[in-house]
Amino acid sequence: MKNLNDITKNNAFNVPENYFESFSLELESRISEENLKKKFGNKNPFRVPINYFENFTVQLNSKKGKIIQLLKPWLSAAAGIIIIFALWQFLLTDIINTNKQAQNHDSLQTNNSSFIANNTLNIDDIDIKYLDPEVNAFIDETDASQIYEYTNEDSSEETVNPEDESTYEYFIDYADDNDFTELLAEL
Amino acid sequence: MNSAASVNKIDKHLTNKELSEAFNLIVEEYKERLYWHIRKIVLIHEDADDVLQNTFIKVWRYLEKFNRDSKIYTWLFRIATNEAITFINNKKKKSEDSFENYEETLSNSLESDDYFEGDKAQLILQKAILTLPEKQRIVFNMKYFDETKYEEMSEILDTSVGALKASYHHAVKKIENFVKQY
Repeated sequence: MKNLNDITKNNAFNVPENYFESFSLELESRISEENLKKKFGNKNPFRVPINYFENFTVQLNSKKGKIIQLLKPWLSAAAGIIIIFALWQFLLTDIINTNKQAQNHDSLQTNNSSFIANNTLNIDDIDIKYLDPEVNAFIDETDASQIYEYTNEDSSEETVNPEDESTYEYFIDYADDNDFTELLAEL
Repeated sequence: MNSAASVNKIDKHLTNKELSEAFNLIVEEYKERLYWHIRKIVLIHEDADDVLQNTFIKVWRYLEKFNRDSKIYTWLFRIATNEAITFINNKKKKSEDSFENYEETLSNSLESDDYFEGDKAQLILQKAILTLPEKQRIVFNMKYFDETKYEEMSEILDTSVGALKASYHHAVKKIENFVKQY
């Protein structure tokens, strides 16, 4: 910097936003305020009872204590409600779970029934394996329905057809072999 | 203990989560300033006492949650102002229920109040203040009697400085007009 002429003469200072716009309003307020103060003063016209501030803390603490005492039954009640609610929730969850299990069981049964209803089990589809390789070979070679007939052959009761000739012959043979009176007695 | 030292001590207690110690110091430090702030809003000592106690009960209840974004002073004055406004509104509601005008009742009771020691002129001024809407009344009291800075008021009342200046201007003009009658 060589001399003063090197410095621009621009105003480097600024004012708060809307300062000049609100200035006259503020000035007017100040004048009115001054007039009021001249007439009425701004001394606090109120007072407090003797030792009010000295005793205030004691009063406040007793009020605080009273509030705590007042809140205690409510807090106990709230705690009780929370416990009941928690128990209820626990029981409710338990009941819901039991119901869900029962429902699952029911739906499983329904599913099973519908599965059975919808899926016919074909005996030929069952792959049966026995320890004895000869039995296995026989099963593989034979149709399953034949095996069924074969295995039930002994247990099946012979049906008697009265019109069948063999039945008639059977009764004749029976009559020859047994005394007829005995036969009548048996009947 | 001076005010700044006390505020530092309150801050320290709050940092260390020593709420009981912080609360006791807050009561000691701010009870008088808050009382006078409330008293100028509600006017009657018994009402101011009620509101002051409610204010501190609220402070005690929420001290743990005070996030210290604002100054403790601002936070306390904001609670006190809100408590005073709530109190007045409740009283107004009760007055309306019994077909009374709260401001008129308050103005009359001021004359016979044992704890009001103002002269006739001061009584007129208080009556004039009572004609103002709540917010204007608070702004007027804070500026006229306590000479609170607009910036501080702005933080407490959560209102812009411009709006507060306008509010004060209206209040002063209304009071001027009112006192002209006397």
